[in-house]
Amino acid sequence: MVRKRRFSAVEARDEVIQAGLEILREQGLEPGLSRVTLNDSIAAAGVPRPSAYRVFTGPDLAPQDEFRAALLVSLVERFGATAQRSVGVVVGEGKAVLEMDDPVEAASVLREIVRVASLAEEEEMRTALGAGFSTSLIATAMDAEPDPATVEAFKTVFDSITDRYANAYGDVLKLFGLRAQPQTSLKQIAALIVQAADVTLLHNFGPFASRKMRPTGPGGEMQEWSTLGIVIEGYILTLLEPDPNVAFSADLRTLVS
Amino acid sequence: MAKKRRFSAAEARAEVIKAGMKLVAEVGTEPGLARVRLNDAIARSGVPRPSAYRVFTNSERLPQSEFRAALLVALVREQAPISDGSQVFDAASRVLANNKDLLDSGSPTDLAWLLREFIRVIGLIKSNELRTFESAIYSMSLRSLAMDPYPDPDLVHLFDSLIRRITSDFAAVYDPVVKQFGLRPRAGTSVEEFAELTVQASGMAILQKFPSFAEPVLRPTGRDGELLEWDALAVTVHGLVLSMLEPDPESDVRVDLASGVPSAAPVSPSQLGD
Repeated sequence: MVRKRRFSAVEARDEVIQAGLEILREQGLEPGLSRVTLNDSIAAAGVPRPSAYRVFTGPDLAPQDEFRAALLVSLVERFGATAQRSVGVVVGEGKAVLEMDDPVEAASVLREIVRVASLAEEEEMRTALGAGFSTSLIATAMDAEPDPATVEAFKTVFDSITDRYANAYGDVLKLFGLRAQPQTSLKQIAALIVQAADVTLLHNFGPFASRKMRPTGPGGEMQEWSTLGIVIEGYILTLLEPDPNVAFSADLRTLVS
Repeated sequence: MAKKRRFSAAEARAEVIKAGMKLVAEVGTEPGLARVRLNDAIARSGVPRPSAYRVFTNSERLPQSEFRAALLVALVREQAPISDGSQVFDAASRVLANNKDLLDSGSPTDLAWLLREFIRVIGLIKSNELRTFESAIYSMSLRSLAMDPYPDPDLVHLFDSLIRRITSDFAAVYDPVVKQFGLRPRAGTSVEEFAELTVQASGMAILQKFPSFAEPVLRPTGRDGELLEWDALAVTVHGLVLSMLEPDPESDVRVDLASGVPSAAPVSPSQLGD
């Protein structure tokens, strides 16, 4: 007789969610999260049913809903981790600018950072999970009576993603002597970027090339840009300003004229 | 006994889809197609259930999915005369007419202000327009394409031509405006590409239904620096104008795009007064 493996509550939860993600990957995202059932995931995970149900029984939600909310959060957390990694690269590159004091050069370095980071970001978001996240979001937004549990899950996850982005951007912008304009906030800018990332990602399925060429190289040579990068550059030009409390700021105007 | 009408496979398909479209028209597209069920459409169409199921059975998909894909194709085809940009064009003409003095003044900073205000107003109008039936269908098709591992070739084709058409319609609307403000696309890009990005950004209007995103951005862009409401689409388009367009040296019109971008040494209003 095969001895059954025992699972702690945390293990059981992780295993079932892992199985759910696996199912999602296998069957594609067309049916959305709604066709990833708790039962299938439990069966695939090999976790005994009673333990699994105990783990996904919350005070408010049925196990199936609790499971989907957890699956969604897990999807989005991966997405958030990607975002944080890309921004980490940005900060690393940005440190070089600390050494210089030429506002014009600083602006062009900032632009190059946006270009490189958003190419990396877009590449990672192209994965099925990134697309799944975006499509779930849009599906939720379009629903007249969205499932409150899903909306709540999105809200939590979005707050955490935009916070992470906002903190990371804040660090980058400090390097360049920039800040959000007084009536807006980094968090609001981060939320715009997350939205733009979602819609541009979806359009990768349309007829147009997702990469554009722009003459932004050091000698005006053509460089590859993601549409997301172009949009982010636009936000920098419209929603930021030089921080008057610091001695040195990148000269944003040079990017326009 | 009433004689039952007989349906060919093509007729059965057409009738069920027609019934499905009526259901969509009744319930609206907001709930998504997921709530339009094959069974309801069959019942409505009067096609015998076995014939209807045969028509929507294929090797790759469940009848329900096959039906929804076919319904989506039919909806996109039906709605093909989606926004051609004329509403936006009318609104654009109004904003320009109301500010004719600024347009004629020739002052590069006044023109830059007018352009910015123009984008803000159009963005608000466009965002409202985008919360319509047509755009819901548009985004549903997009979503269906993105999520479907075996997208329906008809749908892919229809969607591609639809989005190409919307983009070229928009480019046609933007082209004279870009010229009117003495602008041109920067090297390597085109008005078509600019239009394409604004079409993509339009998707943001749909996301505004999501409470976390609904907050408008306040920007000090009034004539005297007062705070005005910008929606996500308009901010994005303003950014695209700054990053994708530039003053055309061949044009008689001079617009100072950079005047809207905060500079390192902000000039205080009192200094401006002299």
